[in-house]
Parts: sequence; C-alpha cells; structure tokens
Amino acid sequence: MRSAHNISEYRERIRRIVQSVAVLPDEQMNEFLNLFQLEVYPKNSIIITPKTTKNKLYFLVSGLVRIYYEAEGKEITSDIKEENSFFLNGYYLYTGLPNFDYHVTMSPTVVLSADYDALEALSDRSHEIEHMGRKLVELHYANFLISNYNQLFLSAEERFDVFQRERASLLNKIPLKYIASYLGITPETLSRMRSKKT
Amino acid sequence: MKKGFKDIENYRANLNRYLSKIGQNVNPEEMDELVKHFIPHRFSKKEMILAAGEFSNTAYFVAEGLVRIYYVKEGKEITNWFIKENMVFAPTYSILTGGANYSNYEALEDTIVLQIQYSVLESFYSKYHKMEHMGRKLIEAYYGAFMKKTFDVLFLSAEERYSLFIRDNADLLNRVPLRYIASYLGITQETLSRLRAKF
Repeated sequence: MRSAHNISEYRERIRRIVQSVAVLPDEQMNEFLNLFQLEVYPKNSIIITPKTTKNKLYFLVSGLVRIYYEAEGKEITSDIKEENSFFLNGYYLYTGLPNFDYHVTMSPTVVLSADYDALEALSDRSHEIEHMGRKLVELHYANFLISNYNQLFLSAEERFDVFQRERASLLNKIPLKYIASYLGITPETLSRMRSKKT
Repeated sequence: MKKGFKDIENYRANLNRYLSKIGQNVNPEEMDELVKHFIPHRFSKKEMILAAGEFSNTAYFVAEGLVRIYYVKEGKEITNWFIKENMVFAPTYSILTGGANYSNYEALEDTIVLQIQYSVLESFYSKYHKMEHMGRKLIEAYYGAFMKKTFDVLFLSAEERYSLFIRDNADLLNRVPLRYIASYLGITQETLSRLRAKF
C-alpha cells in the first residue's frame, strides 16, 4: 500500500528551515535529508522516555509534542513543540547523564527522525554538515537562554504577553493547565489574565 | 613583548590542554595557531570584567584567579557560577541572542584571563573542520551545564547539592565568601553552616 505520507515533501520542509541557518551543497544536503525517516504516533504516545540512551533528532511534521518532567509529585511542562520544529534528548546528549523528561504527543503526530550517531558520523565526514550542526545547536541553546531569561526577569503577565504574541495558535489547542505550567503560574492566574485581556 | 604576563606561555599551554580535551581530533599546529589568538588581560580583585546591561562578543579562559557570575533580581544578588583557573566562561546570552547580557562577571581574586572575540573563534571554525566540531562541543557542554544546574536545584536536596559542590570544589570553601556559596547552592547561610559542621 502507498503511504499517505509524502516523505519528500516533509524533507523539503527540513531543507527550507535548515537553509536559513547554513547553506549546504546539494549533495551534502541530500545525504543529510535522507537520514530522516517517517514515524507516526497516535495521541498520548511517549516519543522520548526518561533514561533514553538511543537517540535521534526529531523534526515535527504535524501534531504537538509536550515536554515535561515530574518534580515534587507535579508535572512541569517545560516546552510544547509545534510543527516545523526540531527536538531531541538534549539533556542526555549534552550532559552524558540520564534524562528525566518525557516527550509525549498531545494529538496524532507525524515526525521525521534521524539517528543521532548517523548524524555525528556525517558531521565527521562533512565540514558543511558540522557547521550546520553547530549553528543549529547554537540556535537551540539561544532559545533555551531566552526562555530562561523570560522566566527570571519577566512578570507572569509579561510572560503571558510573550506567549500570546509568539504562540497564539496554541491557546485554543491545548488544555490551559499545560500552558499555565509552562508559564510557571497557576491555572487560576492564567484564567484571570485571559479574561482581563478580552 | 607583553609586559607583566611572565607566565603567558604557561597559560597558553593550559588553554591548549583544555581545548584539546574537547577537540580531540584537532591538529596540534592548528590548535597552537588558535591559542595564539587569545589575548591576556588582568583584572584586580573585585573588578568587574563585564557588567549586566553590556553587550559582549568575548569568550574567556581563566588562566589565574577566580570569577563569580551573578545576576541581580529584586535587589538581591544571585550567584550562578564560580569559574576558577583553567575553566572557560562566555556571556553566551549576549553572544548568541545579540541582546544585552544580564549577568555580572566579577573577579573574586586578582585574575588573569585569556580572551578572544567569538567572531575570531568562528573564523577558525570555518577554516578547520575539527575545530568547528570542537566549537559545537563547547556550546553543548555549556548548554548541558546550564540544564544540569537548573535541574539539580529541583531534584537534589540541599545536602546533596552541598556534597556535590565540595567534591568538585573543596578549594572554593576557602576562596569564596560563604554568602556567595550559599546563594550558589540556593540555601541560606545558616543552612550552609549547618551542612559544613556536619560534613
């Protein structure tokens, strides 16, 4: 049976995003894109579990992925990934220590994934790919730093403003308790802020 | 000749050793070439190396001395890191986002750093494949250390954080005012004193 998924179209999307970070010769770009394979998940599937040691770089084609961890008996949502973004098990890959966060789908989700070791091997062979990898890691880290900065120095209300500006589409798509957790506030405070705005 | 940096060759050898551990496949001549582009600077005890609100594109290697990194929130200083000799630091927020850096970098002792513009580092990355790899590993290590620190506060008890700290930094107990260590560990000075007595 033919798949309903057009993998080349999905890889094309990765190409467009990666090209804004680094220009690659066609041959290397294609070698890179060909590492990505299709994975399809129903809602509420765990893509990355705690203590994952076999790693991949994921590109979210469609759906939503929530990243959370448990602390003091509570789930803390650290990020919500939307389509056309990358995610990976950064904690393990960058510290060498077991990760404790979950990556779980919030709706039926399609991803492309590339084996991390294969990516490393390709980076070893190709300077251009290594360059692109560095730029992507820098970008990923810069986003982490910005959200850390927002958490430290913005008020709850300012964080909500940023969220509304940059991630408005999420507001009607996911339960408010996850957004509240992501913003570091209670669901009640979030409701209050939302009614104030309208 | 650079006056006052009599140990400059020694510092560069230490920097070379540090970077070679991360960039294991970098060719030694290329590494020597890079290390020569780091420029020594001296800061006196209590001097500010870089202040919050400033923009910076510089990466640093501490050749001698000790640096405290902290930010101020609601009038309180929160200490994030201590960087001692043979360690690196960089205002990555400013370098990577282009925004004003929000931390203060203060010399806690008379300190000598070797410093380099990030753009110069990047020109080496472009020139040498293995150095670009090293550059990625440096960012990943920085990123990992930041994540680990964030999660240690959540998942480890004050006692566990303290025992990790003294395992790796026993010398700092005598080099750093205790209030800074307490702030770094996210505990009160009283709790720190209690833990010190216990261990």
